[in-house]
Amino acid sequence: MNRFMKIAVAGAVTAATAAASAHDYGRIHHRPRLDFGQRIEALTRLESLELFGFFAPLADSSTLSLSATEAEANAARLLTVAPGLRVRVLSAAANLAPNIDQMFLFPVKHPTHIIACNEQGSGQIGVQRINIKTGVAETIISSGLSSCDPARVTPWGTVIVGEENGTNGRLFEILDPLNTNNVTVPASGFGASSDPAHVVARPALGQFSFEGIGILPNGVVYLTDENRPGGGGIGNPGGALVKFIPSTLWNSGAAAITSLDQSPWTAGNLYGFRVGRNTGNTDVGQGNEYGRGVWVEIAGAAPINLRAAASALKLTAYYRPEDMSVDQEALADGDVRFCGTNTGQEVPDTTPNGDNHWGEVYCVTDGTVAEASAISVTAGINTASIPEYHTLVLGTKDFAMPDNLDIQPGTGVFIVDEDGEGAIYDTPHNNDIWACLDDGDDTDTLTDGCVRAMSLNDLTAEPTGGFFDASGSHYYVSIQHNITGHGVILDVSGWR
Amino acid sequence: MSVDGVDTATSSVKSGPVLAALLVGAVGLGVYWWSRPQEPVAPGSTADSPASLAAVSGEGAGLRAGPPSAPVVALADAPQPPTARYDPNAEPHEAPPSKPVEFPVYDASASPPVESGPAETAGADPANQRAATLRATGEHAGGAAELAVLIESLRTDPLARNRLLAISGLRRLAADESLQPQVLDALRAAQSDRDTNVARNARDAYAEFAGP
Repeated sequence: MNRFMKIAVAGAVTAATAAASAHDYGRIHHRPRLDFGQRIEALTRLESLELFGFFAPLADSSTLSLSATEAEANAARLLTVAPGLRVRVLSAAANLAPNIDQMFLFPVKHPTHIIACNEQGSGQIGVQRINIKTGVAETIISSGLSSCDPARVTPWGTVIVGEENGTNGRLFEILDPLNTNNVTVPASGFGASSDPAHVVARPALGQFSFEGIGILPNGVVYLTDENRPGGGGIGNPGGALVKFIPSTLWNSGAAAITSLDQSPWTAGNLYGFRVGRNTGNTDVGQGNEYGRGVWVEIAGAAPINLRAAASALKLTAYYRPEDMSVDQEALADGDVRFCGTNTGQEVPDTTPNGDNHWGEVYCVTDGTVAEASAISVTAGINTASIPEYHTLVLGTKDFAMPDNLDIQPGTGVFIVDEDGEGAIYDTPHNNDIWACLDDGDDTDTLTDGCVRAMSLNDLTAEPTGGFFDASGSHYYVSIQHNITGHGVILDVSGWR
Repeated sequence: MSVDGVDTATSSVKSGPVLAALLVGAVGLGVYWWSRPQEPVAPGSTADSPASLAAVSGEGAGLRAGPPSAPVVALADAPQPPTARYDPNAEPHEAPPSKPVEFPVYDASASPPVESGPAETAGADPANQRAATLRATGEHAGGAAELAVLIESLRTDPLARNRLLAISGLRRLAADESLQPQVLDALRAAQSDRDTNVARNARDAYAEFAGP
């Protein structure tokens, strides 16, 4: 019996060992090389041509940093693009301001120029126009603007530019930007410019660090505050999202205005986005940052300090909201959807103060254009529309700190400029420009995939202001504060 | 190995029915033992228990008594929760406010402290603060003070990006011929920088003013 027991125990151990070995064998030798998520990523890359319009994405960020001599010889080399795409230097003029940020084509029909903000101090150039054929740069606002960042054309034919300058930030409207030259504006406050017939401040739209601007055809405009949490005291909120509804909506079929006092943005009402509708709109605060919300009335005499109002009204805050783009396909259907970026904060893990908050791309819906433009205030809430916020892309270590974005006309692909901190890693790498699919018909609200479309070749620079022309075939991007010391705007084409 | 294990058992069958039966039984026992379902972890009974964790961490090991054991209650005798119909809209943990909640109203005269500068310059990493300084230094018409800052950064900043910014600033200072000798000395030394980007940038900047 004892002998039988020994044999039985030996057999059991053998069997157990065999089972364990079988387990390990399967894990070590038969484990798929790619896990399921990696296979999805690989599939996204494989189908690059169909999904993104270029043959294949870039595998990695560039680690090259051109010298000034090399960049001056051919500024197109500042950008490596995915196979199939092409780069042309639109302008590398010696007088092109070095920190060109947001920009757009002007006039909308048959454009001849790019009009761009320059993000520098009030003593430097604020706004320029660049001839898209010759690359010649001319100055529209020569001084007074601090950190000019957002820039858009309005439906009534003027230009709006904004300062990313905290609670001193202002919006300015420019009439006839192709024939307005070297205007100076006060470094602060709302005094007159040197050419008030062509450049005026817009106090009705309030003050904060202007960054995202999303304009509807009737003049309703969404604005974001590039603010980081904890500024001015721990626990203080990040940047808010507000909506301005003009007192008189613009008739989108009307001719362009001929005088700035005809602008719809001389007067109107401001509302702040606050997530949380449950229990009488009371489940508001940290922990509730996405989903459906309300528009909270922001009352007061212009110019309203929107950052202070956001804090007082418990508006929902995000980590450094940046650029914004209105979804034109939704707009064509009569609906409002706009998407933007929250930059977050990223530094290498080797530094003690990194958040690994890699930012996000988000989208907000706001009902129909008619609902989004109406006013029906009850108990301080404009109930005419229900805004709803959802993340589209969550940042990663690779795709960090998204900044500018545009939605490619015709394809709906998002092109996102990265403003990460790769240059301060042990192995420095450049910022990239990513292509992301919109959310499809699957059950989630997230992108169906992103790939690296372009990568800079200048560790001292970042891509900014990237946007498409109306056809979606040309993507213009600024290589901000690049090694040459002057501005560079590149024209990327070749999408299939 | 699992295949090998089965083969071993099969060959044993040939040596004797009794032994084979025993081995098959043992194998079955072993497989059962190996694949048995995991029991739920009882508090205080595994290494994850607070007492065990305390012992692992050395915190109060051998000094602190564990929590008193709960009395064993037969399942049938255990108190049952009251039955209730499922209501998807019910929020049992959240009492509705007894009176309408009054949200604060914005009062411009009572503004809380808020940050007034651009976000880029607030809370920046020290490396990026140095970069901002280098950019600003390089942008302005330079003198001896700016020159010293840029040369020192080119020599000592641990970040290649910041050394590249120093070269960029020195390049601009070199437009002043009186500063060129010192700029060229610094650029010549930087051509042997351990970072290939920095070395190439220094070489090209040097050649720009001194010739190749």
